[in-house]
This record gives sequence, structure tokens and C-alpha cells, in this order.
Amino acid sequence: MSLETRFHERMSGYWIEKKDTKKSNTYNFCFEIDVRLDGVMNLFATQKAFFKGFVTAENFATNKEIQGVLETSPFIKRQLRYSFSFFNDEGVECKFDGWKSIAFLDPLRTWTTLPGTLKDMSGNMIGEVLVKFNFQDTFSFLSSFRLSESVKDEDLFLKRLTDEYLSSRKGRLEVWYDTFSDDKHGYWIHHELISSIKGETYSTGWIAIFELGKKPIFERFEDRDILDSKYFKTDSVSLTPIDRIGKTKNIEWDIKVDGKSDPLYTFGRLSWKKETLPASQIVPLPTAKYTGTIKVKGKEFKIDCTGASARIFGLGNAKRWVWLHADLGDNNVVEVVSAVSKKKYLENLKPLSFVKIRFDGKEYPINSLLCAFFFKTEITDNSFRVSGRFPRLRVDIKVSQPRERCVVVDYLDPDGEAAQCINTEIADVDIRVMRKIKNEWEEVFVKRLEGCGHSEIGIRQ
Amino acid sequence: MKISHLTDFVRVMLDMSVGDAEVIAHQIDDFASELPGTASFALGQGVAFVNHLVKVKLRKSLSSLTNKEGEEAFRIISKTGIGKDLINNLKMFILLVYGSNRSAEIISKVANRFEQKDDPEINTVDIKDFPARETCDVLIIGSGAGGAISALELAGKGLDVIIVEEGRRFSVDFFRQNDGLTRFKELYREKGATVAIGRPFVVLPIGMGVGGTTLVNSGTCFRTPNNVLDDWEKRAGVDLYEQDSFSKHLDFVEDLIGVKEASLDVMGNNGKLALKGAKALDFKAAPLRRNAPGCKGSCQCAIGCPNSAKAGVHLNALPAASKLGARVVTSAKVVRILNDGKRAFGVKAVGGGREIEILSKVVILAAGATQSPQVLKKSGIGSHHMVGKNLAIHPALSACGWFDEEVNSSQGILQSVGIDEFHESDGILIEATSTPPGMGSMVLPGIGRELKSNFDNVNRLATLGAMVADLPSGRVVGKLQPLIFYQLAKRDLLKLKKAIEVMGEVLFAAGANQVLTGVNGHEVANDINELREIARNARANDLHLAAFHPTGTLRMGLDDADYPVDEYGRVRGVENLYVTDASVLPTCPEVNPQVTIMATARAIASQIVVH
Repeated sequence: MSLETRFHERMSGYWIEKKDTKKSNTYNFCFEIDVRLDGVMNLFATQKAFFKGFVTAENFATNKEIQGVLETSPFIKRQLRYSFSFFNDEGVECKFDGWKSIAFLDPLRTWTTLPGTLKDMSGNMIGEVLVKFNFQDTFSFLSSFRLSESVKDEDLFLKRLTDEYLSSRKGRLEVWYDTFSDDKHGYWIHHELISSIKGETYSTGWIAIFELGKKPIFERFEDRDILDSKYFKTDSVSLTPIDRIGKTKNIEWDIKVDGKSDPLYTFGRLSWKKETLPASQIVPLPTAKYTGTIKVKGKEFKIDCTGASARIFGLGNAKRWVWLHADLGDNNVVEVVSAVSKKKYLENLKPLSFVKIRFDGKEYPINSLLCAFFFKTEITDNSFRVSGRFPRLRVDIKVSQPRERCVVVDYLDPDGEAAQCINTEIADVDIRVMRKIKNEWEEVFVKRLEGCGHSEIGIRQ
Repeated sequence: MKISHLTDFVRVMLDMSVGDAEVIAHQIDDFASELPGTASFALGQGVAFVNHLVKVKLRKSLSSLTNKEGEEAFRIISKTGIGKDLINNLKMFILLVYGSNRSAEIISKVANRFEQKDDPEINTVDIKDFPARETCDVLIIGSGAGGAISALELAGKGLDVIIVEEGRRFSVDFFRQNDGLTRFKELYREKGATVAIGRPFVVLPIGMGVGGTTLVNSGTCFRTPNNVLDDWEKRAGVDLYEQDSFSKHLDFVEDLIGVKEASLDVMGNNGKLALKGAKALDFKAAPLRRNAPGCKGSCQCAIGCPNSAKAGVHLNALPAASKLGARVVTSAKVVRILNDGKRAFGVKAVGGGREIEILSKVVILAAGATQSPQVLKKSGIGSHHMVGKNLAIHPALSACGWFDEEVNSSQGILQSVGIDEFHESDGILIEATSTPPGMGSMVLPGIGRELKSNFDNVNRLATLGAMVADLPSGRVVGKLQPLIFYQLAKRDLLKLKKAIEVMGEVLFAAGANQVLTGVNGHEVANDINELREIARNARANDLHLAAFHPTGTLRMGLDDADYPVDEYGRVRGVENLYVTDASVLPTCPEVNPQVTIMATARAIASQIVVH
């Protein structure tokens, strides 16, 4: 793991379309980017950062995704070079290349002015661009700087209950679970490692296939023998960051996972890395592509779905909990985990509701742990509702999972206590998220998902 | 500058009426106001001081004297050192303007005689229309001899080349429709008034425009002499000057620019008299080889060929490079080579109220020997102690002969014949050069009526010029505005004096009955003995020197302590930065250098590999 600097920048101005005739038209141009740099930002060196974002060039490209490179070298080369590519409204790939030329005697202008060119992929000039940093954005720009440890996707899949870890700690569990679905079916693979307080480590898991109107197919697997691997591996089931392979009595599966999205830290990074909470959940791949096959007693299911791969780690299952993963398309997801801890003094608290919404490349709220105290969760047998208001965010999520659409799974905690979990991938979800911008509430997302929400309710008898 | 002072000065100098003198005075004032600050200030002060001297010596103001009295007054004040210098130098300005006016008539006759040949296309973009940010493979600073050939070579390798040129594009229309003075002001850097400071000072006209100095050179082409190549290869340690391999580049250049021997049909009498005199003395002489295949003898090389015959690089290398995709940004002055101290990666240029930056993988500096060192210094990468030093200028002076018959030297080839009898022995190269009177280094003698009469008879005047292979006695200093210093070495002064002698011999042998020596204070020699006497006693300060071939300010060589550029043309200490202009020539090339510069540029450029 290494350090990573992130910040968010917005620049706007105009672009001049170069036409053959004498007349040239001037249009608006602006782009907004999330920049990610390996290491600590050092203005006295030359560094290369990568960014993703969106661009709008009036009359040319509307809110198109961009990705590019920012080379910062303000004191050595005296330039900050931005280059990115994107597809315009007509689907033609174009690239922007420009740089700020730093002059020490005129810092305010030169650090905020970015002239550049817009060209097609063969190098033909489309237009000239001039964008500037708006000084009104100064506070949000500076406050967007983050210095954190960067984690590779593979690292998030690493087995944490290694022999070394378990030599000093007992009573933990660790879960890898994938939920993926297409128009007709929902698939769920659950891999779990448990280290009981007595010191025994064993694995458990299950695979389920959901279809609206039909009884879900469900099968468990359990193994005492855990094989040596960086990730989850037993005699019959194995998992790596890119594939899931397994065999139970009646079901066989071989799936490839391909995901390039940023992880969602539902409980915040610190809780996953440093175990600051009794348990933590993260979603290493919030939107991934699953391809392969699942065979059930001869019947073959061809897999070509989108889904998510999530992880749980902690002391055990919560006293009561709910979980939701809703894929809203276009890399937008909603992830909710509400839980009441089993720990002696925490069990009387209301459920802590961890909500993470990723919409349009932005995450709300930024600090889910803080907001968790402000949301409330109401749980019934077949449904739950998470709602609340944090100063600038309003959330109302209703999940309905009729019993016939679910599988009921029994669990044993590391301390031997039993819990039950009711899971489905064909839940109905109503989501309403609103954000306050400049004293006015703006809808971030309002949607109803029928029969494609992945959710679970966890209870104890 | 007070116009009245200047008017009086002109009136006396040219024996004119006040009205005519005032016209010329205004022309001079216009010209002077466009000169760089120091020159116009000095001019104004000089004129005022002459008036002051007259008042002191004669207790009368110049304005109250008649032309004849004024002549006498000038003669009196010329007896003092400063008076003599002042009158002499101010005279040069007057002659420049007056000479231009008088030759304007002849020029306009020529302009209409031959049909206009349209310019070949060059891909030029004014800086106002160029994007503020651009990238390319190769960026070349300067579109002159070195820059154009580098562009052609590298564009030919399929690379994306951009040339950044400080001057603008001049079309053949411009040459045909404007008078000599206007062309002179526009085609030269600092309106042609670049001066190397020293005793004596040397006028150093440098061309500026798309095509660089090849727009205004005399078109004379020499292959680099073998002894020079040998010296450069062995002493400076530059392998690319090895004779066999270098001659391939010389061949290419001569073929590209169309080098041929000057034709006797269009040569004119100036050249023919030179040949006649040389033959009589049994001196080695021949018509010059020139890059002007269709020359019509219009004698305007120095202010742009109206017949598109003198093939500067704007007629061959630049159009060819444009066809291969090269672009030229005009009116763009490079103010900095972008670098991080170790690597060059582009330039910043200004012009037309704008600032542009171009990033490139390789930067080639070809701004000329007097400009390139400053570009390095301004960019913070000119710290080698020899940057700007080692300037050799190939100083030249002229001598004229009065003939009984008509010479009409302003009709014919401007620089037509070369007499190299003393080239190998003394480094003296004599060339029959007939610049329009007032526009060359020859200052017609006399004040007032004598001067006027000389001007009226200028059609019986033949002119020779002599260049001397000099020691690198000069340097270019300064970051913002380059300042050129040059102190003539003793050895070179002796050579110049010998050159005057030789030129006088040739002129007399050709039948001149009087020779104008060009030596201040002893302008006229009636026979060869008088000439020899004058030449022997001439002092440095009495000579009127001009130079057209500055070299060596970023000399290339093997030794990293003494040569700021290495033997491959790379600037030491900076990656991706090359120099391909006259600055890299280790010593004076001893001949007109355009072919040498172009071949050097090609040799360096051909070795450049761009990833």
C-alpha cells in the first residue's frame, strides 16, 4: 500500500471552432476532473497524475466522460500539462492537450489559465480552447485535497485471516460475496472463513440462483480444509480477484470477474484497515462484469451480468442487520449496511446506517460513518427502510423482499451463536436521494427498481 | 532631433536648396526614429554637436552660412578628430537616404522590365492565427540558411516540423512595388543599422524574414575551402567536416539552390572591368559561382530579388519542406527555450500582442550567430563561458575607381567576379560588388559640391569589395538586447590595408584614372604609388568597415571546456537541443558562408534521431 493524493478541479471557459472559412465560432467549454496522483504531491518535482471526469464543449460534446493525464512540474519545467481524450456527441474520439505556463512574477494568472487545443485522433485541429479556474471554486478545490493510502484492487481481496493474524487473535470472520444479475436471473455466491473463539478455522459458503416467480435454487458448501492461498481457497471452491470457481453436490460454476470501478468504502477506509469498528464492509468492485457458466444438475446458465463483489470482516455477525446493493446503471450504485452491534454496550443502540451513494462520479456522503448516526433504519420481516437527513443530504430508501423471493441461510458466529439471514437478488427498491445546494434541495436520484435489488435482512431468533 | 539642424547639415553636404534638403531631412528623421534607441539618440546628438562645433569654431550658426561657406566650415571642423568622425558618420546616413532616392528611379525601370514570377508556396501562419498551445516533433528557431535546410532534412524523415521565425514573409510583390529604402528598412534586423562596437565600428547588416539573410545576400556560393575543413576536423575535432563526407552535403546544397557560374551576358561592366584588371596583373580571377540561375542583372540582391532569380531558401528549401508538412510561424520572436535545466522541450514565442508555446521532442536553434547566443542566455542555459564569444565577422571594405567610359555598375550582377590571388596566402578575397551608392560600405568622398558632383557621375564608378578572413576578435553580450563588440586584430588590420592596395592595383590596371580608397581623410589616390602610401598609413579608425558573415559564437568542437556545442551540434548540458546556424562554425570560413552553413545544417540534422 502506498500513499496517494487526490483532488477535484473544475475549469471553464470557451473554445473557438476552427473552420476553413474566415468566420470562427466561440462556444462554452468546461471540464471537471478527479485527479489521482501516486505519492504525495510535490510541486518542486515533476509528477504524473491520472484523472477522470467529464467535459462539456458546447455544440460538440455534452457531459462526456474523459480520462487523461496531468503532468505537474510548476517549478522545474514551469508547466502543468493537462491532456485527455473523450468521444464527442457524434461518437468521434478527440483529444485535448494544453498546459498552464507558470510565471513566478504573475502567479495568480498563470496558475489558473489553461490554453489548449482540441484535435481529432489523426492530429487535425478542431479548435482552440481557453479555460480558467474560477476563484469562486477556491474553497471547494482546496478542500477536495485528500492524502490517503492507495490500495490495489487485488489487495482488497487478500485473505486477512492468515495464520500470522490468527496466531494472536481469535473469534473473527471474513466474507467474500458476489451478487450479479441480468434481466432474468440473479446469482449470489457467498464465501466465508470463520475462526472460532476456540481457535478452529473453517470455511462455509453457498450459492443461490434467483428468478422472479420461481423458487430460488440454493446449495451450501462447507470445508474444514482451507488450502494455502492469498485468497479464499478450499478443496471445492476457489476465489481470486478475477475468477470464481467451485463445485458443490449439484452445482458447478466457473466465472470470470472484470471490474474497473473505484472501491466503495461503506464503513470508511479506517474501519477496514485498522479495525476501528467491530466489523466493516467494503465493496472492492461496485460495478463489475461477470462472465462464465453455472451448471445446475445438467442445466446450464450462461452468465453475462453486471454485479458487485463485496467483503466483510469483523468479530462476527451483527445482532440485527440489513444490506442493500442497488445498481442504477452507468456506474451509479447505492450501497446500504445498517447494523446493530452484538457488543455488550452497543447492542442497545439503534442501528447504525451506513449509506454510500455513487452518482455521476461523485460519492455521497463523503463521510459515511458520521452520517450513520443520523440515519434511521426500520426493519420488518420482509422489508426495511433507511431514511434520514444529514445537513446537506436527504435519503429515503425502501426495500421490499417478499419471502418467496428469498433464501434463508443459517450462520454460526465465531462465538457459536446462531443467526439467520434472509437474502434475495430480486428485491423491489425505492430510492430517493436529495442534496442541498445553495439553500435549495436538488434531487440527486429518485428511482424505483423492480425485482433487481440485491438485499438481505439478518436476524436472531 | 531638430529638423532644422539636420536640414542645414544636408543642405551643406549635398549642396542643395533648403526645400530639397528638408525633404531628405524628414526622410532621415523617419528612418532614425525607427532605429533602436541608441542609434537614433546618437544621430540626434551628432547633428546637434556638429552645429555646436560650427558655432564654436566660426562663431556663426550653421543656418546662417551659405552652402559654400558651410562646406568650408565642415572642412575646418574636420580637422579635429571628433569633428572628422562625426561628419563622416552622419554623412553615411545622408548618403543612405539620398542614394536610395537616386537609385529608386533605376530600380523602378528594372521592376517593369521582366515579368513577375510568382512565389512558390510556403506554409506560413502569422503568430496571431497560430494556436496558443501546440506540439510537434521538431521545432526550429529561425528560417534562414541553417534553419530551412534543417527543416527540409527532418520533414523529409516524416517528422512534424514547425519553424518559428521572428520576421515576416516577403513576397516578390513587395520587392517589385517598394523603393530601396523601404525594402532596406523592412528586410533587415534593426533597419540594417546593426553595428559592432569597436575601433573602428563595423556595420553588420543582418536579414530578418522568412528566408533569413538569404533574402538579402549577394548570392555568392563557395564550397568550404579544404584548409578550413581540415582545421575544423582536426583542431576542433568535428568529424562531420571530414572532406569526403562533407562534400556530399555541399553537393546536395549546391544542387538544391542551383549554383552556377555567373553569366557574362548579364554580368555588367563592373564585373568585366574587374576581370580586365585582374587579367592585366595576371591575378587569379573568375566569375563567381552563384545561386541565381535566372539572374537578369537587376543588381538588387541586397534588397530582395524582384525577378525571383536569386534563390534564397524561401524559393527552394522552405517550399520543399512545406510540401512535406513543415509549418512556419511568422512574426514570432522566441523569448525562451522551455527547459528544465537538463532537457529542452519547446519554446515560448511572442508577437502580435500574443504569447504562444510549442512543445517538441527536439529543438533546433538557427537564429544566426548574433542572436542564437542570446536565446540560450535568456533561457538560462547559456552558461558555458564561450557562449557569445569567438565571433569572427569576415570584415570587408570597398574601393572604387573612376573610369572615362560608362560603367553603370547598378545594372548587372551585384557581386559578380572573385579575385582570389591572395586568398590562400593572406585570406583576402576580392569580389566585384556594386551596391547602390550610399547603401554599401563605400562612402563617396567630398562635401557639398564635390560630393554632389561625385553622385552625378556615379555611372562612371566601378566598385570592388574585399573581405578578410579574420581572427575571432568579437563577442556578443547581453541578454535582452544583444550587443556586439569587435576589436579588429592587428594582423587583420594589416590584411585590410593590403586589400586596399590590391584593389587599387586592379582598378588602375583596368584603366581607372582615379581610385577612391575608402580611407577617411585620404579618400582619393591618383596613381598606384599614392594609393600604396595611403594604404600603408591608414589607421583602423579611418576605415569604413562592413561585415556580412558573423560566425562562431556557439562554436562546435570536441573539447567540452572550450566549445559550448559538441561535435554533433548538440548544446552541451542540454538534451534535445541542437544548433545549426553560423554560430557553430569554429572559425571564419574564409569565403562567403551560405553553402557552408547549409551543408553544416544538413550534416547535423541528418544525424538527429527523434523517437
